[in-house]
Amino acid sequence: MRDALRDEVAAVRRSVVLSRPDALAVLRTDADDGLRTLGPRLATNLDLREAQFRQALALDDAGRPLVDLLVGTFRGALHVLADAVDAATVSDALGAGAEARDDVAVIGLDGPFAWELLGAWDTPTAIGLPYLSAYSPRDGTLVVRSGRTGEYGYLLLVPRTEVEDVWADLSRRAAALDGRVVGSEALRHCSLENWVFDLRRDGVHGLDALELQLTWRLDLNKDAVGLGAIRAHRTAGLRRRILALDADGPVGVGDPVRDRSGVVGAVIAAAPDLEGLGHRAVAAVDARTAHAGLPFEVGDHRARSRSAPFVLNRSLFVNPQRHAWVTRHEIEVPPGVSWPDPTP
Amino acid sequence: MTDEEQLSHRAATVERIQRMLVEHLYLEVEPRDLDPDAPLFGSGHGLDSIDAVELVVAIENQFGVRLQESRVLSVPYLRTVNTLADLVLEKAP
Repeated sequence: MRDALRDEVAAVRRSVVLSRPDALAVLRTDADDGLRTLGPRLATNLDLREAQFRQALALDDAGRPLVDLLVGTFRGALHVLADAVDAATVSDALGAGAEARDDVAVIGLDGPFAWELLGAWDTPTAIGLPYLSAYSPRDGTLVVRSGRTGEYGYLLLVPRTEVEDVWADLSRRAAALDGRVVGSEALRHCSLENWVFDLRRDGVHGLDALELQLTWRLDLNKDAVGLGAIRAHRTAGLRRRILALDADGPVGVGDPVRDRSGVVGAVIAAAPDLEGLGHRAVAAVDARTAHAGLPFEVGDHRARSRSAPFVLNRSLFVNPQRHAWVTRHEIEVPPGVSWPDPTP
Repeated sequence: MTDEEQLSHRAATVERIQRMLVEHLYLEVEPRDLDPDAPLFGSGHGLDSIDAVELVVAIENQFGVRLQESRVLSVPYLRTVNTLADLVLEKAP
């Protein structure tokens, strides 16, 4: 089981993977109506250009994340992709009259060469799609560049009537890039490694958006639900903050985190050590001590706080204009970083 | 350096970097609103490649850390406030 997960995670970091996101609600509404309705409900600035998407949050009254969304406009429509909730929950939470998109299915492409697969499937010009932008390669299909793994990532919204053909075509082309299909566990592991907020994982511990280091997703000048609590918390001074830790043994959610003064927090998310680089933990700790480079104990294990994210993504060094899968070993990476090839 | 001294040195460095980013890149936020582990580029605080050049110059001027020789060696540090703090604490004279 651990080997299978390790192989899937290695594929995400090495080449390109296909997935069918299992918890992504897709909704659509008229752009003007949608922005008018959603704007006051979301804690994020929604000044969007055409074909631009933004990572948005809806908060509860206490400033805790309630819905985690990608919101964007495209050809007069507002598209909403909500993680970890169903479409009805999104509509209820946002009070938006958005229509659930039962007519489309989502395919995810992730990896340092995901752009190469997209370009092979559509046209080479697709590789220039900016981050958090969208385009339509064919009628009824929308491609959004996003990603939660730290590698190049795309979500393809494909008509259900075509999705199996598209999946088969992508799978065939992915084989030339040593691509493979991965499950949601591998993608969740990669999102933790990449320090990406996961509502199901991080949003269930009573932490507000400041404590979760999501200030960058808030417009503190807005008057949306939850922002009053955030402003009050900010004025009073941050109580807790999440912190990345490397532990020398397995750790689990709820494990106490100690420094010399005693218990300073608890683990809210953990990932196993797949590559011999340490067990990863995200802990909510007293803000006073929430800094990298310090010794802690987590459960029964020694740990050290560190800067997030946990990984140095290969995509940071891959330039779609200059590189390709076949010449990947020529791509310059820092000393100590290698291009992982499949286990023989 | 004791753990307490290390903590205090780290916290002070993070605050200096937050102030430097706001002042030199003209960010319309307060320094404390720059989450230490949030991505600086792309989605996060929304910096772009021009900001990256400004950032490298600012780091050099403020902390005496040279970053211009190799992009590959610089990239791991130019990710978040905390990775910039790692750089300053490792390399500052």
